[in-house]
Amino acid sequence: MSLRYRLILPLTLLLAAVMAYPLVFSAWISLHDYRLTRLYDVRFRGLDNYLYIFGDAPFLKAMTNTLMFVAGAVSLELVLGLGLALLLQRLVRFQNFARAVLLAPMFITPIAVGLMFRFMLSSELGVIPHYLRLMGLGVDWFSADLALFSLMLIDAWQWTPFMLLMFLAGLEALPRSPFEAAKVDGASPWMTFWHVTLPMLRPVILVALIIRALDAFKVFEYVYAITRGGPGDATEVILFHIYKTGFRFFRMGEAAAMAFILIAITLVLVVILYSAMQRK
Amino acid sequence: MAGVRLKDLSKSFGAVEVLKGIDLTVEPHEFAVLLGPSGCGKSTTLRMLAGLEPATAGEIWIGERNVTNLEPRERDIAMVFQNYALYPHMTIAQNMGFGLKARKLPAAEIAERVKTAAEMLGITDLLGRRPRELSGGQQQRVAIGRAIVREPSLFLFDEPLSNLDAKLRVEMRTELLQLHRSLDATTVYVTHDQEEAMTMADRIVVMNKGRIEQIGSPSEIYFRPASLMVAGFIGSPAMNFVDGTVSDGKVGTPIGAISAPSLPGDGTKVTIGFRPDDFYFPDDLPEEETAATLSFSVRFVELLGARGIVTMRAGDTDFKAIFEERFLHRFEEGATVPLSLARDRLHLFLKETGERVAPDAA
Amino acid sequence: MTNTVGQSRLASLVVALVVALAIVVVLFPFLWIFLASIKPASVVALPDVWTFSPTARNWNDVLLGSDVPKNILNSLIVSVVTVSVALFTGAPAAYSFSRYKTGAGFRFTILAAEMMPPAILILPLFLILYQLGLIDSLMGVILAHLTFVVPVITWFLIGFFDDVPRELEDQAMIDGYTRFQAFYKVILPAIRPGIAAAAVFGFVLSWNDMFYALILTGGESKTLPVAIAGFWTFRGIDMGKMAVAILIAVVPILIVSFFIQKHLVRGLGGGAVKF
Repeated sequence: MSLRYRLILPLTLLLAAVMAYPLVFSAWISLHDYRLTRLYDVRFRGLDNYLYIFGDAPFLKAMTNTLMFVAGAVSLELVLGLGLALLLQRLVRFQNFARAVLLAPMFITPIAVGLMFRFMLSSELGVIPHYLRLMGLGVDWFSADLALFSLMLIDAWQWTPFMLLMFLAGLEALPRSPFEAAKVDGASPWMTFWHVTLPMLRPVILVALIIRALDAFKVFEYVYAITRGGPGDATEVILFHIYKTGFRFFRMGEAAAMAFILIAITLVLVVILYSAMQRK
Repeated sequence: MAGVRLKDLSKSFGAVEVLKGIDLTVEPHEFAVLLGPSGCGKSTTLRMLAGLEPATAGEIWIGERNVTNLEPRERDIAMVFQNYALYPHMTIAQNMGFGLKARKLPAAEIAERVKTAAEMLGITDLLGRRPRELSGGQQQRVAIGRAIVREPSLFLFDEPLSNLDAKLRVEMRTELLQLHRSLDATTVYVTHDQEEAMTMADRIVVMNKGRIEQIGSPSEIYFRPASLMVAGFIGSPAMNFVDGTVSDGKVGTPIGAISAPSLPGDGTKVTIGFRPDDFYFPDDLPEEETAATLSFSVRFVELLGARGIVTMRAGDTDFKAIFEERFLHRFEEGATVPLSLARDRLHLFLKETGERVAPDAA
Repeated sequence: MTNTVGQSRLASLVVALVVALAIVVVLFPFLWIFLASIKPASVVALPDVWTFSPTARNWNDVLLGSDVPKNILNSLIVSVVTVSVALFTGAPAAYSFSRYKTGAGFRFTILAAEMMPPAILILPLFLILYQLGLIDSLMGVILAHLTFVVPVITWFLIGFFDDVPRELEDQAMIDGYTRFQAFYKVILPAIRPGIAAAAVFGFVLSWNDMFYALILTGGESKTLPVAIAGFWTFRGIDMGKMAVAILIAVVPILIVSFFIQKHLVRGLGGGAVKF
């Protein structure tokens, strides 16, 4: 075997063991009535699990919540990240310090972020609601109406830095001359941003958006730490729903089917991401 | 020092044939330059000589050894790359000594050889630094130094000067030649820069589309190009060409009949070439040496300093001529100027094959 | 295109103010958690206490009287083993992808693996580990973490290998090495900073994971993130101790991540996005 294939052999074997085999197993589970409580009685169900969950209100609700969460959180992060990147570029002093601090949240464990914000936003013990009340704003951040939005804000706190990182690098790599040309042409800063910066940054924006969206689909820790899906089903997101179905109610077959639907969405996004990266 | 022999060497990447049967001998101590346009196969030839690309067919000999199937490390060669290929994580001294270390030489000897080579190249004070702290010219010296310390039987250079600025490039040429002579080395040198080839080579190997077009000394290549391709590739501004048909001991062309020695038979389609330096004022050339006197209308003149390039038109073709500055006043824009061509300065090629027919390619 | 020239004083001031505000937003939670960790139990749950006599009690309780040191050790073992395995399998493969352009299909597989939702793998992994008797073992968590750390590290390294000119290994082979020797004696050392960054990033991912660890551990083998979540229970919370545990999980990561920030973009691009 030539060196090139010998070099990828260990990786191939490892991924086959920890990913490919579980994936196949998972597909098999999704076609069965597989309950952790009734392992002696596993029955083939064909596509019934899939058919069932498509008519299953809690699953559809979890899907809707997740899509709203992804759309809301990621667009918030995009706007904030781009804005901060442009501002940071114009910062005269302490640029490196500011950058290091602003990037920090993306490195820490999401469960810690969830718990920190649960503590700070809690309506009785939270420092933020307390001062908002003093300003005359009584807001219950984890009420049925607001909880999902609050989770988006928390996600934005942790992941805007990722966008910032991508955009800073993207901006840094842009050639100077179009900006100088725009200046010579007498373009206003707004026109320059809209007609020069943004179009040139487009590939980076696309890649950053998809990577973040893929990641946001996996939101779990904030929900686990703060709302556990509630109030009611207001923050029941897909990963939490699968976790509950599989490991609270032990209905593994349905959980696996849900996971495969999630994978289908993921794959579509990955294909878009991959072609976006290759085109660059 | 060893010579090199390539026997019917071929190389294909998949279905693409990049080298089609190369036969070449480089004598010991010779400085051979592989020259050609990009994609002609010169770099591939060099990489195969180094053992970095396996040969599809044919044999490679270095000295008395058939190295065709040997690994690069077994071929006893040193190579200098266009981008220098210095190891970024090693100091200059470590870079230069790395090949000796790989061959398990004692540390003291490595240090000694590195020191000698560094002195030779004037880079002793750089030995402790890392590549990224060096300028392009300095990195180039280190890359050469690394080749020298190895004391190989063959030096290979892959466009080593093309990343340097023009002035430095000219300086390094001289220096490389001096090194080659003082080391009494055998060198195979790849470049696309004909000036580099002309000034440095003992012998030039002109390559085109995976074949060797001509092998010869710089003056042979320049004054007796073996083919249309070589004639057009060597020289700047390029040689002028005009197509014609042989009849009655002359070549009939759109710009007039041109007589030439040793013509092929009547009706043969040929291309006549003449260099920009080979135009004469009719009065300066004796009748018996004149091949033709033709009328050109002047389009424009570019002054280069002591000389100028005149662009002129005859028929529907542009021709370029070089004249000394003091004659340039004769070439006013729009003027029609008669100029003569010398018989012994003409190059005649068969139009169909591009092969040289006259004067014979001796 | 740093454009500070010709920027008015007022504009600079506004920029500085907005950035300062963002910094406050980022730092405030850390500050509040730190205060919580040294507040006496009587005031920790009050939202407006800023002055108090600090106590080391929470830190003492957590470090000397709880399972947290064991959780830290578990997390460390899991992360270090995971990253080591990932480097040993990922680095040669990444080199092959980069140098030989080994199958675009492989590259895509790595990216797809990196983005794989954990939901799909957790079910079979749980069942397999259950049958192997590896539930609540570090081994199980390591296997699970390999599923995302290995693709990420491989993807990361592809980008760094792409930046190494091919001539570098040509030179090493002429200098006297075989192709494989050229790989580990020249190419690997040449991208040491990239490998370090990939290792740190992989470590951070493994260290931060709660999802897999939550499901696959429960007792002895709990990792730090799972343990942190355990401080907030239905019986009530011990905010002070939780704050300590959070800081322990977060501060070391913040410090190491600082060193890889500049390599991160190259790595995330994985040899595909060139900035």
